[in-house]
Amino acid sequence: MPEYDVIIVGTGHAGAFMAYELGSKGKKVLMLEAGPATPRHREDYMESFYLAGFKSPESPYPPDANNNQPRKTNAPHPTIQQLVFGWDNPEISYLTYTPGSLPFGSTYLKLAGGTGNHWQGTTLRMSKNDFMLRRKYQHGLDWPIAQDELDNHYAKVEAFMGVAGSTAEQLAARDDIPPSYQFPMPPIPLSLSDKYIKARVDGEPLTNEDYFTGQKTVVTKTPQARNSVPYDNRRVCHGNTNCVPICPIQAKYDAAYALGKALATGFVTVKYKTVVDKITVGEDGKISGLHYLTYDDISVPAKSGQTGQGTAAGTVFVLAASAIENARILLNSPWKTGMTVANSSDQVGRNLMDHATYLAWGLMPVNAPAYSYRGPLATSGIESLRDGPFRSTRASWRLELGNEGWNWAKGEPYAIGPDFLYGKNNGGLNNGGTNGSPQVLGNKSLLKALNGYLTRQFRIAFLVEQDAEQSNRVQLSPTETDNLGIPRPLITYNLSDYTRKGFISAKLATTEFMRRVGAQEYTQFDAGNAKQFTYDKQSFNYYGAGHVCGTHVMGSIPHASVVNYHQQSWDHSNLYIVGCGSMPSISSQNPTLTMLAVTSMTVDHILTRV
Amino acid sequence: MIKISRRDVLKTAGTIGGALLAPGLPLWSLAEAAPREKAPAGFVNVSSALLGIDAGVLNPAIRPDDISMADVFYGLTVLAGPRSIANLLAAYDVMENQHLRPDQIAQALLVSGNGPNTSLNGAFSRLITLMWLYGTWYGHTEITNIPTSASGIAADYQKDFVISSRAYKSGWIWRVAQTHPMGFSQFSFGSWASAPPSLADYGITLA
Repeated sequence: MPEYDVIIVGTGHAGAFMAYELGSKGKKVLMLEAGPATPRHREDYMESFYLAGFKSPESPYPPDANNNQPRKTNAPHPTIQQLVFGWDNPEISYLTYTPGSLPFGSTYLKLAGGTGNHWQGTTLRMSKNDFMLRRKYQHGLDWPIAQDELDNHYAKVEAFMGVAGSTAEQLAARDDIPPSYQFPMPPIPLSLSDKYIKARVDGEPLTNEDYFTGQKTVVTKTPQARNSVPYDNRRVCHGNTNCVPICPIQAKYDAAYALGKALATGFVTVKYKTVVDKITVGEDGKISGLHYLTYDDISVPAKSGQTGQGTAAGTVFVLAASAIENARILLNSPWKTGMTVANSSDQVGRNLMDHATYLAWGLMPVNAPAYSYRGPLATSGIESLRDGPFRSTRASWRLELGNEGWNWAKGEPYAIGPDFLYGKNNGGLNNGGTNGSPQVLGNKSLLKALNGYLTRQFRIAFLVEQDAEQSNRVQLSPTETDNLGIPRPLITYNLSDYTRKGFISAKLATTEFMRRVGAQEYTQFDAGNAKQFTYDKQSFNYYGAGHVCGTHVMGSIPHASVVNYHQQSWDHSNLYIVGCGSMPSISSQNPTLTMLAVTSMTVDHILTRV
Repeated sequence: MIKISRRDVLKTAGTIGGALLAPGLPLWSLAEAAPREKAPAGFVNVSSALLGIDAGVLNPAIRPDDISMADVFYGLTVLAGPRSIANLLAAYDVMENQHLRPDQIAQALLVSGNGPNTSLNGAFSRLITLMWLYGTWYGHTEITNIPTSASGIAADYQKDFVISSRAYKSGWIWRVAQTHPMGFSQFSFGSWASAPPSLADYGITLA
């Protein structure tokens, strides 16, 4: 008998939750984590964040996000810095690209807790129609799961994470949530600007598309895994406006916290700095082991490389290493002649998705400052317009109201100060001189400009649905490796017309939104940003939402999907491939909650086998 | 002549630096390093004129851990450009003796025609203003915008860096925006649902 019942690759959201569930049932679990452990002092992460000149989502975490040398890093991951300073340069960018590909806008981490460290905490459920996008709207792919099968699992993971929300709000948002359901915690309060906006925006749909007949615009409180009361030994949110990259007080649930709970069961062991590179298959077609390489040095460039290797054996194997890394491991694992593990369908790596995000920003009226840069990054959104017959024509979107001013949009408040001292207009606000020229200000004039603009800044973000496409895919780079010699991902990424039409709709909705609020819109297309496309003669920038999905989609037909209803490989009965990579469609809701609910189903299935 | 080295910056400003760590000490302990220079009154006064914030508010007599950000920032300017900061303070003295108002002094130091003052006095005035606002030394930003400023800034300081976590948390931009530094809130649950403290609560006036 193998020493471990279950081997899990990756300690992020899915892996940590699964390890806790299995460990608490007395199952022996070994976790293999490519990155380092959590430091003894969480303040070390905070210190890295405070001292980072570029406060990207990766800035608190190793390896150094400002020093991107993926060829010379033992377990590199994508960073926003790479996207900004050299997305198409393999010396800088961990992800490599095929010619003609657009940049993939999202990033992920490799360390204890994985990308679950810097998620925002939004926990919206998906709705019935989201699970049958193809059947209902003739786009994308269908799930083998119906939404109501997840009700109990949604409730379970909401209790595990600690979700603050209101059933009444979700019903107003047109969610398919049982009316009798009670969230674990009362909802997070709306921000001051949320309330002002809600009072003016609620009502008729934001666009005059016929499809919207009978639908209403409703700003609702966003359910989120953030404490509104003390919960599970964690504090209430103090509004650090820093959910991404890091909540300083862990009021936001994160996967590193779950990992701690998993370890506390006494049945879970973690090996850090242990990079799975290949999966081996036995004569019987079952997985026989996970081959891994070890290393010590997390610095960039690494002073040393591989320090050892080994093979982990267990009864059941789980890949929970994130969508792109799961595909990378599978594609790097030969099986039979000319094939790779779990890939008889040739679907591994395909259907890569994200929420392509349309950002819009403006200034609130002079008499109604937003007083942004306070509270969680977002406390409300417009969910009520996500679903309708229009989805036969264009992608769904949800609208998130931000609380962080123009931080995402323009890097504020770091643009405005230099702009008014150097007479520049990088932020778009310094045009009050003669004929709209920029000014140089000091003393009270400077203070007035800073206060007057910063307190009125707000942004909205439309998370636009991406439909699954065969051509959007992860392959292995034929030439580029990391410092351990493992091939790096080769990405082909584009946005379909369906998604691009969603951007057209979002732009129209923005105009009406700003009109109702009485706000002055400042949204600008940035030609210097590589994340751009043109549709219907309009140019758009898109941003990543951090929602890396697809790559090993679940389905009901073995030749058209990688895993089944249980996230179990069609090809290898003792291999489960879990995470957002299993999602065949992602609607416009942030995916972590649904991914965990599906993982909860998978845990139940594994428990019948070990 | 003060010897300039990167290590001096670390000691002065408390910036992260593995070489200075005693084994086992967490990184954030460096933020507690005491500044080695005491800022002269002229430095605080010129800072006040540039920012439009009272000198006693910028540099209160009682401060956390008895660490004055004025001392930290002044020490950095001395390392980055001893002659440049001395010249700026001398120019400030002249204008103060001429009884120029603080806004006139700020105008004279920061503005030339319709654009920025490209002299070294202008450079160090901007660097000082930005330090107070953001807790960041913007040497690279300065010479990117005004290349001639390089002549007054030591090579090690021709880069941008956050001076220390304490400096980041002390940034006045957040108070001017009536909020807290991102990632360092001293407000409580639900505070975002109502109006923030007024500027007056921070000792700031716009008139």
